[in-house]
Amino acid sequence: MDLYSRIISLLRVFLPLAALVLLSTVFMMSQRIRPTAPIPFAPKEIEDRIAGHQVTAPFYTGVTKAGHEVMISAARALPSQGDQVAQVHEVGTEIRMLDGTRLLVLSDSARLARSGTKAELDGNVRIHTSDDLQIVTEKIEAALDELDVQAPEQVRARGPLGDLTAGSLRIFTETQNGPAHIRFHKGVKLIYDPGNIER
Amino acid sequence: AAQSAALAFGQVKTDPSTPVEVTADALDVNQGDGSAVFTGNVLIIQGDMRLSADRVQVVNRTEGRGIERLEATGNVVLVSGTDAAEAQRADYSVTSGKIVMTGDVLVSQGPSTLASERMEIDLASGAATMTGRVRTFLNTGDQN
Repeated sequence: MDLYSRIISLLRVFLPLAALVLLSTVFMMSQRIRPTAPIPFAPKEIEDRIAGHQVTAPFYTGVTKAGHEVMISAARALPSQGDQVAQVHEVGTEIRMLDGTRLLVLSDSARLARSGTKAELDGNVRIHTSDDLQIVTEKIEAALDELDVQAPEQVRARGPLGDLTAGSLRIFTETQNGPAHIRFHKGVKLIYDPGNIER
Repeated sequence: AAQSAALAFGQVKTDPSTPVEVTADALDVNQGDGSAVFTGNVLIIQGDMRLSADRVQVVNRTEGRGIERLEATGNVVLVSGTDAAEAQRADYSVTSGKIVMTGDVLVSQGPSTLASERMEIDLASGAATMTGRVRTFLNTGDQN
């Protein structure tokens, strides 16, 4: 018998044996599956979820008439019942303009009107623009079908121009696809410190 | 010949690095090109200097951050100490602490009133030079 057929005959014996060995050890390595282990969800939590239809990190994404993208994400949201509008909590709203500039708005909570054309963000509202103007206020109303964000109450801002307080604020575009204007009004006071800019 | 008159404007020197306070009815920041405009009863205060106008355009620095210049137009009145100056326009260069007033400049200092086309004031030293048809009126009467 030449070398080739000897190897074949040896393999014919060893290969099946190896297969047998492997097959038999499979059961030892398999994961413990204990059908009686507790399910990670607490029963009460399941009921809450079903009752409140809670959705985690829901997204509202939309585009305004002019093409600015609006995205609202939140940690918790409750759907609207009757006339009460949808409630969302720990909200992050991002508006991305056509010309690449961005508005990021963080707030404790938000209410989305059922008509879906307006969102009210309130509680510790912080607005951050891409030319790093930071604005803090209590409440803002944001239209969802066009870029029009209004802060009716006192506003404090910090940015390249310095520290600023104003009676109220509006962020909007004058022409449909013009640049966004941030308009502080109802009395504005700016403190610009040339000293610390140079340092 | 374009006469010019040198005068001291304002009693107290204003250090250009002291904070500048601007109050107005409104401020509009254009996020497209970053330009900003104050409108309505604008009042700029730095140290002893007060510059009021209807509209002030903010010109940002070309390099780095911060304000390069404030361009005030409309009912421009500059007051420093007991001296006051009016003009059609005033360009206040925040970085260098110089104000250039142009267009029917009228300065009242104690009994005398000076008029000219243009006036430059260095806030740090208080030195001012008026150029362009400088005229001086001495108020002999005792109205003021």
